[in-house]
Amino acid sequence: MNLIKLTIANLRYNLIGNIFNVIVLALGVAIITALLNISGQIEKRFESDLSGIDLVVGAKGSPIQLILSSIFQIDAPTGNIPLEEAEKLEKNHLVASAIPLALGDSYKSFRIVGSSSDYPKHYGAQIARGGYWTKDMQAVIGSEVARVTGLDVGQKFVGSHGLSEGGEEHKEFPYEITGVLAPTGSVIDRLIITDVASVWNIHEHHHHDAADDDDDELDEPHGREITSLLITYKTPLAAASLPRLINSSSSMQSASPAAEMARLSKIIGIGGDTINLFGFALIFIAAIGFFVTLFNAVNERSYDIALLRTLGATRKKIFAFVLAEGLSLGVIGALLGALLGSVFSNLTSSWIATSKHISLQSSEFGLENILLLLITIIISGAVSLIPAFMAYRVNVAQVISRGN
Amino acid sequence: MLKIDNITMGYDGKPVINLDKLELAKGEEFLVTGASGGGKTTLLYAIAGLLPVFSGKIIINETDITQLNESEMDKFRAKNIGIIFQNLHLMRSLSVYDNLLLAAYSADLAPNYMRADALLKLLDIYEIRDCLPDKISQGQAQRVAIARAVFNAPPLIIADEPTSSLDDKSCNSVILLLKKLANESGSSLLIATHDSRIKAHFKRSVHFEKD
Repeated sequence: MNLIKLTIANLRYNLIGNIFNVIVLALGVAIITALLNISGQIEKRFESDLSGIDLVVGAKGSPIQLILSSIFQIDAPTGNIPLEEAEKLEKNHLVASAIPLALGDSYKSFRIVGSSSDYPKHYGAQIARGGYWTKDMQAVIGSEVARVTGLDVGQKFVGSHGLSEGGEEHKEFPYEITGVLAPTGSVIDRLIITDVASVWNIHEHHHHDAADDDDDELDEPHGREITSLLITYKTPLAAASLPRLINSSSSMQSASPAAEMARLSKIIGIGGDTINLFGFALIFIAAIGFFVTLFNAVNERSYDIALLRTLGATRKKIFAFVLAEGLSLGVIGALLGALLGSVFSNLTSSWIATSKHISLQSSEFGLENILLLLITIIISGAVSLIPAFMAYRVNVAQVISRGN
Repeated sequence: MLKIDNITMGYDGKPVINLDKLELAKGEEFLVTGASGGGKTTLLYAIAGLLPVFSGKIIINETDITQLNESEMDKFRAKNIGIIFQNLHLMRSLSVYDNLLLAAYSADLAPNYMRADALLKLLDIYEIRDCLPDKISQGQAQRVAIARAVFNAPPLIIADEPTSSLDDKSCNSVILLLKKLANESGSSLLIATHDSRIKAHFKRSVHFEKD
């Protein structure tokens, strides 16, 4: 017989009520844990994709759309920009590097991006098999593209017009795969990357009805165009003048990834905060449940407590005994919640990876998770203090005289 | 072993009983009789240190327990006094076996499994050692309560109305058992009862009249 055994015996005695309280607590912790994990994974992914890109320049429109389409490749582009203007900007003394992106086609919903080899290299991509393209109509594919489509070096494929499935196929312009990239954990994994010239080549020969024309197309009659430029500043001071210069003196717009993502996080954050609030509400409800359960338990078991005292258990021991019950429920609920939350977030990550081809890094059990567990356990302990103090104060002679 | 010297005790400042003198040697048995409400239980509670006395001294094993604070009394009681209450009350969440070991745990003593087995066998309740209290009979519960009271071999065993709900046969066996167990561990035995059937088992007694 010891404190643990005594606590377990008492928890088992009121099993249904305790299970209910633990489940409510675990759900609260699970919701917050899942939210922390998923938002953490997405944040890491965003950071990885945004890494080293100071400014995105594209056609005028929604700056968030420009960021989403050019960096994360998850939205339609805002339009195209004249190559001439883009090249002029590349030569600006405040620009360290500018990676061109030309969008317009896709293969089985994977985007074909016309760029330079600097684009995959920017994300630290290594060639797993084969090599980079050496001429037009050759391409390298990201690891996720290779996994899902089964394409490999030496094989050919035909792109479809537009960024979603179902577009007209450019049958007369098949691509040849020259290389497969190793996984990077970035946007590169789900892209087919070719030279910008290949994209121009297809679209300059692509004849279609005016009705089929859409904003993504690159076959403008007045000169070559690209979709956007990913710019890295030569100096941090460029942030003060370059965006303003582009926005005021060109047909292009610039968008700062950091500022736009902060804006987006703020918008999404409202939803996240609501879910967090819901999670904490559940933890609070569970805490009240603990209090009521322990409060009733102390009242119901006042004779047990008095009996322990008559057997020689000190007040401190009785206090510890009741507190241990509350803390045990808190620890079980918190750990179960952390487990459920992790399972849920991993399932969500797998679902995102399968359905959206966006691989998220596995979440680590970080400081935030540890803090959440600690807060939950502290709350459980805090609400157990009053019943524990009641048990501490039990009038032994009075309770024993009263009988059961 | 037990020495009571001119004590007054009661509830809410009102004295219920006065007892000039009572001495009990080591291993001695003593009966406190009287009608219900006469103060027998009050006396037992005072001896157990559960109720403070208004005045006087209660000395157990050379320690004046009226001078002990609550925490000291808890610890003293754990090692020196075994109590059997009228309402036997076993912890419902614990098995018979664990109810026995609870005595050692409460007293901060190492669990003596051999003694637990021996007592359970001696009291013929070994077979029900894993049962919860609500699954055993009243008679079995009574023996578990007795086993728990003597488990730590306390120098003093006190019992409040241990036979009140028993038939003649059971009454006799419980008293003989209590005396036997007290004798084996060299404990003094003090029983408070209004049950006249057990008077014959005791040489010494004191009678409390209701005011």
